[in-house]
Amino acid sequence: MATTTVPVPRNLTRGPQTFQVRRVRSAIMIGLIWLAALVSVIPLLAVLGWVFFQGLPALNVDFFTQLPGPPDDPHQGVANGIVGTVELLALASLISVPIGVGAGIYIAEFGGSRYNTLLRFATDVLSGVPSITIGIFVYAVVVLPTSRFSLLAGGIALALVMLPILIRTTEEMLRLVPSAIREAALALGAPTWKTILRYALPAALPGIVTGALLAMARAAGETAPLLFTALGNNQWNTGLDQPVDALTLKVYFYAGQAYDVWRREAWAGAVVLTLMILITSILARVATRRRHGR
Amino acid sequence: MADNPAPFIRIQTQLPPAPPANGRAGLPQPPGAATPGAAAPPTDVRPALAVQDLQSWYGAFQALRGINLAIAPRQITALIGPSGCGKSTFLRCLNRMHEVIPGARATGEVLFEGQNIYAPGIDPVLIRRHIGMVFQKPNPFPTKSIFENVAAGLRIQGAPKATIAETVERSLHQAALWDEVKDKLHQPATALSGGQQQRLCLARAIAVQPEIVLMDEPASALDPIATLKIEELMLQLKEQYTIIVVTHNMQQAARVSDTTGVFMVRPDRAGELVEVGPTRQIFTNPQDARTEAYITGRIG
Repeated sequence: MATTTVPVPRNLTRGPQTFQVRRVRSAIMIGLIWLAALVSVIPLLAVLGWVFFQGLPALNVDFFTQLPGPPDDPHQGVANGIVGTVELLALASLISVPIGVGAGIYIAEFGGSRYNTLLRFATDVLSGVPSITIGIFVYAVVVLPTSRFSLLAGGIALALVMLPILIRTTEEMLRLVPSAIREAALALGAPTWKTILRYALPAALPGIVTGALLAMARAAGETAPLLFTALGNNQWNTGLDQPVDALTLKVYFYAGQAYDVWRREAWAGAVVLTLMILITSILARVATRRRHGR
Repeated sequence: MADNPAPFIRIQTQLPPAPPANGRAGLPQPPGAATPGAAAPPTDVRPALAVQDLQSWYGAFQALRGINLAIAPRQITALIGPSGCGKSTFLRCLNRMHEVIPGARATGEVLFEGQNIYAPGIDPVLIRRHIGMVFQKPNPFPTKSIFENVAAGLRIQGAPKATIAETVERSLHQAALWDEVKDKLHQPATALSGGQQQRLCLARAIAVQPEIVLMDEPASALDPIATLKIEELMLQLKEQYTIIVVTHNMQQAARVSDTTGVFMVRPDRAGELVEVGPTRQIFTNPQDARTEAYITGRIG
């Protein structure tokens, strides 16, 4: 290595020609992707803007407190639909959260690789099933045998919508928990179930809660699974085995009507629904951000 | 060099005879001072652990081959050797943490208080309650407070609630951490520095009063001052506990350990124990050519 090599001077000065060409090309490409980003945001803003423009004026106290009425009744609302949506979501969560989180734990912590592949594939298929198909399925297995449209049937349908999201987020969040935490618990003499339940699961909990909130937001916006299951109802729901109204159903039925009163109710319903989902999503994001801030 | 089987055989011949299934009386005599290169506990004659013909695998890959070793009680035994020689694997075999890794398994005998921990019917969960572990990277439970981290093992093992606070304080004292954390016991453990976290993990491990504490490169992720603290702690803790420490740091082994075992990689990539003896002897007058090459920096 002791040979004396004289370094050949490289030409590192920028050539004026190529530099200009590169700069123009760069500007064009950046402009194009900026345009693509803009175009993709326009529909979101347009939808939100239009819904709020049409819906906000239609919102009033009656909307939140009164039951639906005939088209000539000026004091009507969808109070039963709002309560119904909350009931449906609560029931759907009650069914899907334990099952979804449980299945997620199984996939992440147990199971041979063959089972896991199968389960993950099944989950993907379920999340890809069109929601109207879920509606027909629940109609066939719950509504027909019980001979009634019901809150129960609607809750089951929404639970099926939420299930794949819950399974995947639980699994992914548990996988993010470092194995060092599990080993620490095992080395202290914790049985496997205590290791998972007391140490791995709490570390994954913020992420799982976020996933559950997003799944609920998704289910809140579903109409199709409710058409043949919850059916809709112009009165208060009186039981698990009775039909129940939902905001999405109200929007669906009112939007196609000829009466202005009902069309305004549809717009107002769209606004309330959008706000509910927006707020849930923002809550979920805030929860996630706080976790990463630690 | 590794094709010379002599050291392997020599170690085998030093091994205690297999003990009878029951009782203290017939327990194996550890290799006495008469056999050079063997651990020689001065008073207690019963080894804390006696390993016989231990083999371990990751799937089809054999990571350890024919390990024989007697661990003297209330001493620090250091395990050194180049990367990939299986010393961490060996350590994890001693409290059945090895099999936690999917596909990993081990065979052979590890006698703890006269019982083979690999015998059928032995509950690995109970073994780990007697043989604790401190890991390479500090791994406090991130969702738990400082107090709850030390209390974790006690709660897992169902210690009476009334005794927990007292035990936590005593363990933190033993880990020389009490003065630093006594005012923030209920803050998250992740707020501590790396060295403090490692001492917290040590406090957590000794809170449940194990017989043996296994340490897997406990200071390799720490700065020199934190390392020194851990080493001082080890010297204090050996009054009460048997400590087995895996280390990459030969100076650390020389500083803290009474006995040193040297692991090497065989040509088939499995690890083996090539030499074990009083630390002074290993570092000044190694019997095995590979040990000498390693401690003088020619291997590893």
